[in-house]
Amino acid sequence: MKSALECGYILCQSCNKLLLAIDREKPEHSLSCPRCRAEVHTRKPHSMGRTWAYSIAATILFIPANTFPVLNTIMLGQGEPSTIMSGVLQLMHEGMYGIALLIFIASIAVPLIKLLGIFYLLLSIHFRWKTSPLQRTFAFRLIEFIGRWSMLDIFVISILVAVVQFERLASVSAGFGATAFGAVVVLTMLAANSFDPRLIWDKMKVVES
Amino acid sequence: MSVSGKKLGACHECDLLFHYEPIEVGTTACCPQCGYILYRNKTRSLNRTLAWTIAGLILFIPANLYPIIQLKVLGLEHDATLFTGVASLAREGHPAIALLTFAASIAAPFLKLIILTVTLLGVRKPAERQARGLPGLFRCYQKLNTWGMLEVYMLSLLIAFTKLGDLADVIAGIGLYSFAGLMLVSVFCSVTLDEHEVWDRMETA
Repeated sequence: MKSALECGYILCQSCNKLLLAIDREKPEHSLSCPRCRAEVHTRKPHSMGRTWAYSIAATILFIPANTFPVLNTIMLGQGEPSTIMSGVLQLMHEGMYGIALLIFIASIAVPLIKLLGIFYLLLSIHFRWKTSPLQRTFAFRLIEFIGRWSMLDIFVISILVAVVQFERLASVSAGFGATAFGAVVVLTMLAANSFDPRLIWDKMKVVES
Repeated sequence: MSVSGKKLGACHECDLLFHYEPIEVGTTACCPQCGYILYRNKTRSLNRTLAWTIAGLILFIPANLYPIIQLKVLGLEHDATLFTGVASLAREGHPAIALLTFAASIAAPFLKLIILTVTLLGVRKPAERQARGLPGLFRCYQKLNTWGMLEVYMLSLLIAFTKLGDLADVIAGIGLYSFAGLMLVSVFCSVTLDEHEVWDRMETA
């Protein structure tokens, strides 16, 4: 089983047209697809570096996202800021275990699993670990699929902010933590987007030969 | 690009070279190396998707104009449309999350529907007479796919309803039902759409 790159072909990532690599001396030579006019590369340019940068930035922002309040609830004049975790605990206290679990998974577990997963994939390529490439590809697909669901809490906040506006009786506003958290979600999505899963298979071939 | 008469392709996720083989309607061709879905045979994909995008564009209007959620506390009433959340976040000094919410729940889903409708109408003509910007437009659709998050927003709405249900009377508005419909329609769009067929129709001989 041979890869397109080994046989001198380049796949257009946007329209799936297979092109002949004309300039084989310089594989990074930019080429544009005759069908969809997208720029074509043998592999996503600077995939590893960009993925590292996005995921490190996301890891750093994950700290303020969890320590700063995401939501300020003011009830009868009394303010009560809550972070993501204290919001989850509050929900459990009120007996809403289902929602508490959902928010915990979407806002804390998913971003953590995503970041750990991306770092694992990056390191496995850097150090040419011999773990199954099929398993790593599945890990990548999982990371790509679950990413968007982290937005859950941000949307809940934006709905609450819209509806709970009763002046002194009760009102809700967003905190700085929400912006940091939104940035974490966007950065992890960009990280997954810039990662090229074909690198997992490329490095395997180098090890074999 | 053909060797021995069969069209060649490569897997999107592991770069394995393969030959396109005709497959039965409703079946899927998977990559033998990594399991990625290489292509599917969908019946009348383009017309069916066009029907869904038009339905989506119609549903988009009530989903945005009518209130999604109404709250009653001690005789006070407050209702919110999709855009209210975006506006209050922006007003309170959180432009970044306001923009993110706007993009994921309103802008990206709308642009996806409109671009898909234009593309599907455009590729009905033979490739030589199609508008020149069509391939670029369809590439925008593919890029927007990541950022439209109607289904996530829908789950957030359900969570907000349950959370608020404890404190006050919550009433679902016409907007909510239209929004739920819009979400389903956008899922159907991506299920029926065969991107390979769209690109093939843009291919000049």
